[in-house]
Amino acid sequence: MYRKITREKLRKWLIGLSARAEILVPAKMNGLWTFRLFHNQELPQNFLNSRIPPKNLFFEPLKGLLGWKAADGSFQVNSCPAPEAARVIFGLKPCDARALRLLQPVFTGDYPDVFYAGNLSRTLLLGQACRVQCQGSFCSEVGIDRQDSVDFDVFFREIAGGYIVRVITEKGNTLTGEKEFFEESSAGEWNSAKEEIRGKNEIPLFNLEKVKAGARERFPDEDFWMRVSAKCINCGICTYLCPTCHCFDLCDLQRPGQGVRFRCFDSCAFPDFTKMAVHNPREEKWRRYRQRVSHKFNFFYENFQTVACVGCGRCVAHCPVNLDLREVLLEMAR
Amino acid sequence: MSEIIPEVSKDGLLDLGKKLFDERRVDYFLGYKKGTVRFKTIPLIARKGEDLQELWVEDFFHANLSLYLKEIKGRVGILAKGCDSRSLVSLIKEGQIKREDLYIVGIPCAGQVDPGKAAKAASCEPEELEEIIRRNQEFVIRANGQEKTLSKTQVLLDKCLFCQYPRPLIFDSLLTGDYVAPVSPVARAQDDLRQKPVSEKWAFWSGQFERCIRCYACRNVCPACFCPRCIVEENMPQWVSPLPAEGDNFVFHLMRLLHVAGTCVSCGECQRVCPVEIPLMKLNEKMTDDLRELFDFVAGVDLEKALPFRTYRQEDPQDFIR
Ligand code: SF4
Ligand code: SF4
Ligand code: SF4
Ligand code: SF4
Ligand code: SF4
Repeated sequence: MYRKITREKLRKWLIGLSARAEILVPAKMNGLWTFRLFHNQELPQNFLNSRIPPKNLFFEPLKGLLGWKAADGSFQVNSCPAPEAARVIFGLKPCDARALRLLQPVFTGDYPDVFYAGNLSRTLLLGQACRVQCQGSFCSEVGIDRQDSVDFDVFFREIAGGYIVRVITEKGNTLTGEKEFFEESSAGEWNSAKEEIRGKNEIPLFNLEKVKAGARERFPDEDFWMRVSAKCINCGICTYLCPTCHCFDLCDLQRPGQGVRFRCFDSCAFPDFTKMAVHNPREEKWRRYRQRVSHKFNFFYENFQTVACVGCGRCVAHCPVNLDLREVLLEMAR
Repeated sequence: MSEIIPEVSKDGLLDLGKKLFDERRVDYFLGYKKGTVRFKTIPLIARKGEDLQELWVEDFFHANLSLYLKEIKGRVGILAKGCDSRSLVSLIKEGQIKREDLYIVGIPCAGQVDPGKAAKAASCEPEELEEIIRRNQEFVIRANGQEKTLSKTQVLLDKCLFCQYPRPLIFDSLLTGDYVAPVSPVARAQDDLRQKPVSEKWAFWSGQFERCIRCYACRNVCPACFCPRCIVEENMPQWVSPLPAEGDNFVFHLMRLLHVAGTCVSCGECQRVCPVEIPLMKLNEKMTDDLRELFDFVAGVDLEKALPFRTYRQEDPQDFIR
């Protein structure tokens, strides 16, 4: 189903929704784009993507899981409640929404995570098409359409004066069915409104099938991994800015008679990764770098039949030593 | 006495590097390679002469390559900008490397660009910057298909506006070129924050540290952070929790600051790589000023002067140590 809305009406519609839900929209904070509470402002027109991925709004970098109390010989453990309050996020990009979907089987599969599941089900996902290709990105190479997506409830594409809208879920349909804001449109109009992306790779960088095959073949090639990882400084930037990385650490904060167990992010790049079990099975840096790439393009694919990289380019653009994942993938695809 | 400086041309650099390998004077050569992302350079870690084919010393060579001396042991050839050479001096002093194991090639630096700053001056998003071109004494910026001319002060990293050591302090040869500061160095104005009451400073840093994601890039890129084991990673006992919360973030940063006091050479790499743009140099500069005022010490500028935190003196004015 397709609809249309003007820029101003979209703002009014969101203002209306804010009576029922928390609304997050792209905004700049301390010089970085991020998703912030909406306070009825004009929506930004030059938003490319957030520095910190919106994954953090679903799988939080710091999350209390349970608490305990001991008093008078009794001991009580309480789970932290799963989040429920309705929420709307506007302006999510196709890569990040795909990432949220990729993580779904991880967090809601054999060991369901009530927090991730709760965050997903309480959130209305409003996507926005990209008009410019982000620096370092290779989203289309991993199968993402920057101008179309079904990973949302509703997907917005900018047109002159407003947006053309693709309604995907029932929830999205109900909310955009309000006649005073949206008018009907058609598939034809949707298809013809597709825009050329600025700054896109003219020819695809690589063929994903070859990368997947290469990831398996290259795994035992120690020289290859040593060579590509030589300049890596083992920081957490590529993992912490990645919309699909999901390794975590558990940590207890204790006070006399009480305590809280927290979950925070962890990175396979760190030399102390999984040291809580006394040692890190991947002592050398090349093993850790291999783990990151292999997890995304080899193991995750084995387990879930899709690669765990959405090509957002954050790790490429922000690596302090310009260790470019695209180059590594390209070499693997050879 | 006139000193004889062995000069190397850019083309000669490749031959020099190869010669160093051939004559077994070095096991590694650290240089730069053309970046794949706008305004970035890749550190090149050559293990043999052929690897040097990719050497590239045109522009945007921000990286302070001495960071790799934490990991790479042995005899190393290294490219060093004036400011980077301070790290080398400091590391030699700290006993981390031996002068005779290094072959230092100085590289003339016309100042390194700060794309974030340039974008601000050109009123665009950093992502919209297409090109930054040096043109005579100015820069031409292209963003969204439009050109703008900006001054050096609007484009260069702050550290380069105060560049005091455009020529490496120690070297074995110098690449041909001009070893002059990009702009006539002015004294660094004191940070406004320093005049503010403690409560305001606390509020400022709480706000900043709250945003820290604890990726440790600032620590890992820092040549002065050379401890093989860092206290933040000790987990038996765990001194600092990995939780990216304000309290532990404060502990991490203040501890790191004190640990690099006297070895931090203000290279600015920590701030440059921070993915959430925390102004870490404000802290480092305060510390550098204090060291200068209290101990008459500037890190990495001479090989002789005693290190402030490694020196015991009978006449130390503070009696807790006696
Ligand atoms: S961001 Fe770059 S340097 Fe840091 S761990 Fe990742 S690849 Fe290594
Ligand atoms: S690996 Fe890099 S490009 Fe892929 S999703 Fe993660 S941050 Fe984005
Ligand atoms: S401080 Fe001086 S030598 Fe260092 S990067 Fe800036 S201009 Fe170059
Ligand atoms: S603390 Fe920052 S400025 Fe100081 S030496 Fe380390 S990276 Fe350079
Ligand atoms: S680089 Fe920035 S975000 Fe990362 S640990 Fe340092 S201050 Fe925190």
